[in-house]
Amino acid sequence: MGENMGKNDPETNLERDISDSLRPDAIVARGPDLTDEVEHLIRKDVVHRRVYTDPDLFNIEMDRIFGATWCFIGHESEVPEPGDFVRKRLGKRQIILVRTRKGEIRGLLNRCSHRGTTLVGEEEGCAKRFTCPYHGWAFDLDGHLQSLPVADSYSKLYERPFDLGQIKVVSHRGFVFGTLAAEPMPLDEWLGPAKLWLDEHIDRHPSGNIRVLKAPIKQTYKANWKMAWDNAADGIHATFAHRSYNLLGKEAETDTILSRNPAVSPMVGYTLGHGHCVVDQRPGIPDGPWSTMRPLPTREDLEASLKERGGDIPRETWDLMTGNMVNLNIFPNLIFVGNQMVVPEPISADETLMNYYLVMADETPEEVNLMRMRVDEDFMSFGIPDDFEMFERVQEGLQTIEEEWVDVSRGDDAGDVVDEYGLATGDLASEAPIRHYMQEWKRIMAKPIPTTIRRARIEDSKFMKAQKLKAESAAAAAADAK
Amino acid sequence: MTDQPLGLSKTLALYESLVADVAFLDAAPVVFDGALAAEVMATLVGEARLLDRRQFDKWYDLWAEDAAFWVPLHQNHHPARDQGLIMDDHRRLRERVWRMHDTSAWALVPYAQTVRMVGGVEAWPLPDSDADVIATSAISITHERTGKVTVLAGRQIHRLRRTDNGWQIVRKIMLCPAISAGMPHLGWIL
Repeated sequence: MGENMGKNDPETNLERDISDSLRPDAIVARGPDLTDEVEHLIRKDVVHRRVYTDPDLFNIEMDRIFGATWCFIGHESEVPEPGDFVRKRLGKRQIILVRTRKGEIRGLLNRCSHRGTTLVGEEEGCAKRFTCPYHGWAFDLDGHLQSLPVADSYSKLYERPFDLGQIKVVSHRGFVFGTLAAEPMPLDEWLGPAKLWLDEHIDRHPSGNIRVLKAPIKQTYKANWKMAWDNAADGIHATFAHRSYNLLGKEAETDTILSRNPAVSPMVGYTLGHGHCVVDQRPGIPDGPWSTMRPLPTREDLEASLKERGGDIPRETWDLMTGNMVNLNIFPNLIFVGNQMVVPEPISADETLMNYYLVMADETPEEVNLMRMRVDEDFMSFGIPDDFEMFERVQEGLQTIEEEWVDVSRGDDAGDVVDEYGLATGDLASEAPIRHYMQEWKRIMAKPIPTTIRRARIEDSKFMKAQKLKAESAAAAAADAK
Repeated sequence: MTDQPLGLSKTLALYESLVADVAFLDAAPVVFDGALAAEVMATLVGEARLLDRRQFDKWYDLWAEDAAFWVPLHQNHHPARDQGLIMDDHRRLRERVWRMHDTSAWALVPYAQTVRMVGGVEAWPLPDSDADVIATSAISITHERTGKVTVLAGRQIHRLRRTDNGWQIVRKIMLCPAISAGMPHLGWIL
């Protein structure tokens, strides 16, 4: 790989399967067997630098981790009505997440089945059909080919695989996960104990009603996507990397949770299987999340407004204005921080686009959602830039090829408690979450994974049926003429 | 609106008014008072110079107490319905300025070099409002830090108030197309 293995681009490793992949329903496992390679790269307590820097490994990640296992695609509330769509990514592939006329959610590949043109350029919208701007082919919301100008220019058009490719999508309470795996693990099994934490997050909102704003804050950093993952469950960096944010809190006489002494924090982290993990900060904040909130724009007005409404506003309502102090991380691309859902989007081995989606709580007084927006802008300004700085500095540091190994041993045999299922509980300094997701990375990356493109069945396409009928009657007429 | 608690009404009124300032760009006449625009230009280039020369405390002194600084993700966004990059009041502006000097703000040290180019200034009187003038201008910012260069272009909308000590900034809105496309963090933007 990379510096020492030569070419192993999954795009060019198709010799074994090239004939199969011509079939529209082909099941293809791409790329090299990396079993020995990942054994070398991921040890018990150390990780090789190339896991973060190697472009060849990155390309295989885009096939296996962002494609052949479950990834978060989007939330159903982003497409509330039939025809609503949002443009998403699964690795390098563009996905149109759309609600069909029947109200189902589909993940269509944003790639015309003719020459490959992307069908939609908008980030979001509402459509009756998707029409390719290049040659005018049109597809319905289920992905069936609906019309094709100058159809007579094809012989046996109905035998060609022209219905849109799709990924498999499965929702858990509005959260849509997708994959190209031919035989994916059941979603419930893959989520495992993380599902209970996800449910808790959802149920915090009245009636379990979550509304995700379509437009995320998009910011890039020049480092590997896994830097965000290493950071997500790292409780101890907050004291140091976010020193400025903490000082700001002190200046404002608000002792932020991050600024407390890490050695005595009762915060606790758990690994949850399949790379997922959670950090529960609540034991450290007996007065609830709202008690940790800094002075913010409009805060006094909205607080006064809530009180003016009269009645007894329960603490849960106040707490809804800020995050729940539970950082849930669902590998490989869904991180809950505050009231935002962060979706890392790998660009290259050393560049990542972070999407910060804000979650709204409806069925609450209007003040709650107004406050939510101002709360999350706070850390975007004063916290996240310092995180990005750390990620980029690590990536720069890892350019020293002679220093091959990154240590992630913290907590191992020094505080972590591992249960009978191999899941670890640790304090906020523990690096068990990093070791945990690296084992999942190793599991997924080791071997080629069979993938397949789902398609709406050609037999279900009215257009194709009509084409077939037309061809048959033409053939019959020709026979009669003889 | 009358049934709403006061604090909520006040907040929503500010947000509606910010959106109205953006909409004003489409409604404003092309012909404007050239003398007024020249006067405003002096203030806007002065603001740009103070920021480029890291005179953040002096810049902060330009602001009125009822300050609002808004950087939306998209020019069609609404501060009551969409998250923004920045939606600051006077107090948070103070925090931003404090952080510009904080040596543990790792994303900001070593300090950046910036140059702001302000041009195309138009200004109109703004009767019956919290300010005397509304102005718009184009800005281009080149930002260099640790060898990396970020270039950001935007349209600014200012509300300015005439005082005995010169012009005060009441509001500033920055519409920057690159933000919606995704770009390196703007933790340094003022």
